[in-house]
Amino acid sequence: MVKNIVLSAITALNEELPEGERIDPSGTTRLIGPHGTLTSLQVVNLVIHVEEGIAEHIGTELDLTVNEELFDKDGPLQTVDTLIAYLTKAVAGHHE
Amino acid sequence: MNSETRSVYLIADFTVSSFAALLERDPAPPHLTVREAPYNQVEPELLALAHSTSSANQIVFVWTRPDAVIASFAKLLRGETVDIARVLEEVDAFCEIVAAAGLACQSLFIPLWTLPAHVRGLGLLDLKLPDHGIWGALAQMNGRMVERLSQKRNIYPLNAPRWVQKVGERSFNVKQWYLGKVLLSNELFKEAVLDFKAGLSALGGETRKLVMMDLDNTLWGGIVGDTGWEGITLGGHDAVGEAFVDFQRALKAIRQRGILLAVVSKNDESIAMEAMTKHPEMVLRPGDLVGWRINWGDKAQSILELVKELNLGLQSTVFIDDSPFERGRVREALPEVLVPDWPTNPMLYVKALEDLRCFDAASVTDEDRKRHSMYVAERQRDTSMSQATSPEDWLDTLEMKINVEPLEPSNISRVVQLLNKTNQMNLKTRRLTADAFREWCNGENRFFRAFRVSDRFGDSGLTALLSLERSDAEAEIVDFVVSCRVFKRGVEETMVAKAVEQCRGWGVERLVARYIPTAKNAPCLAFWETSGFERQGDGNAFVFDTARPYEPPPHVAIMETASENPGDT
Repeated sequence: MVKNIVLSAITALNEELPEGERIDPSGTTRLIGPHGTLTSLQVVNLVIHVEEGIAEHIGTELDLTVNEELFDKDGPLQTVDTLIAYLTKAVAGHHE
Repeated sequence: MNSETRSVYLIADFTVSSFAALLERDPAPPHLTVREAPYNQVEPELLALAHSTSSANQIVFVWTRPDAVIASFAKLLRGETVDIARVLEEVDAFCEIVAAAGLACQSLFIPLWTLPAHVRGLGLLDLKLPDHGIWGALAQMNGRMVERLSQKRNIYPLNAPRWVQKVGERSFNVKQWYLGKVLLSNELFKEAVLDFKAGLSALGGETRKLVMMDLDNTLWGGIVGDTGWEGITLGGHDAVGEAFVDFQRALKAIRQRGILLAVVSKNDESIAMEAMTKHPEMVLRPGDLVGWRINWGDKAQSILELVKELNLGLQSTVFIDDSPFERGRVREALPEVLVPDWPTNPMLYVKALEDLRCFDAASVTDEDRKRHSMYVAERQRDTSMSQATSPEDWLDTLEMKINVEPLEPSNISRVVQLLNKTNQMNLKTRRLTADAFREWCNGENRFFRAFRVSDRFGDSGLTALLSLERSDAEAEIVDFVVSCRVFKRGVEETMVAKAVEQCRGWGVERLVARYIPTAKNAPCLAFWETSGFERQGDGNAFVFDTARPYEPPPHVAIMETASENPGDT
């Protein structure tokens, strides 16, 4: 479910991006840091899309945007896979 | 559809880069390139625009927060007591700046102000205390903005509160505001993109003018051929029956705006027309239609025939049918026709019609409102022509009257609409905005007249334009534009006679018409080839010696209207 939510957030973000700059939704795609292509505003938009998707489909209200480690260049937003792993853990932690 | 890319200048006091990106990425025409003004520089940018001499072709979009541009409203939000009259004075001042910027650009769009739904103001008392309430003040501010700006020729207030209503609570995301000064969500931006682009299409003259509808399970429920008119589902104490009545009402409402309605149905014509005539709850009667093809033939063929009969283009047409098979067939055979996907549930028909957005128009002129009756008159005219012994005899029976009038504030909308929409009988296919055209007409050595045509069958309205420009011993016909509604009835010859008369008044000996070919204006060339003018040069120039007589057709009674401003040419 978390994976689908992330992919759906990437699809929503891609609507804003020119054809050559769209994010490849495969797991190893780098989001921020070295070789990452997202601007800070696009990162915020992606995270907001993800938050809204998790709230809507899983019923969990995550406050991702106040978590500074999320935005570290070595943090969970390095790749699509690391983001999915981070969110899966965060959702599970929220339910414990 | 127009494939030209248009440029938009986006001025806002919050982050709108996602909106700009969505505008540029949206695949539907018109295609846009967007330039963003520096963040939160609304007033300086508007003032700069107002003093600019290079923004005449600029499309401008101004999106503001009410508390950012109206200082007294910001005080209200902070709980201070503010006189509402003071708030409205500030709205007036803001609108003056917007209006001044509007004068300098081609068109300016400005969404009404909105607030996030979590703002409750004073709760129970918010609308009860007009000097303190937030939402009451906002409603008055928006009302004032509409009052001040909607009458401006090229300024279009946009209904942003409707976008908020459609998207709901997700219109705003407070976290996005704090993190990136993004006030509104992409979902709301997408609604704005749809309305803005529909507006731009309307300004480009790309409004759809004709809706062709199926009957069974589209205008009513059931198969009339099986049940007779007494057995169809329409009205009554029935949810689906009421939905069909409402859909017919919605269609009738767009007819009032000048959109033509026609029926294309596979049915027995006599049975279908009996239903339209006799059913007590039928809203659309045969008199509401400009034509119909009710038979067992191919619907694509029926559409082609009707469009030809009405002298419209396929690109002006929308086809509505509940059958996916028929929709697919028409889409494949006639790709220029707009064939929307259609819901299976009739309760969603009105919403589907509203969502089309293809009937937006830049203005609604008298000609638009009368368009239906003009087409009905045209049908009667065709019948009378088929019964006449010769074309000349037929023209003699028409009792044609042509009123010749100068450019006036009262007719400029229609003049520019005709100039920009007419393709077939159009000498040069010049496209200009109202301001540019007025400015051109006011130039030295220029002459303009519009022609209003009527006959015993009805009023065809303002349907032809003539403009001339003089240089030394020659005058050139710059615009020679005739609506297809009045082709070949003596209007063209009346216009040429007027042009010759004007040349004599100027003391000019040569009148020249230079034809610029387009994909669609071959009928104009055909007219000039038989006009009595001498063909010269590359074959596209037609010259007339104004010393020779050129009489207007004898079957036409010509009247002249003086200018509303004496002294104008």
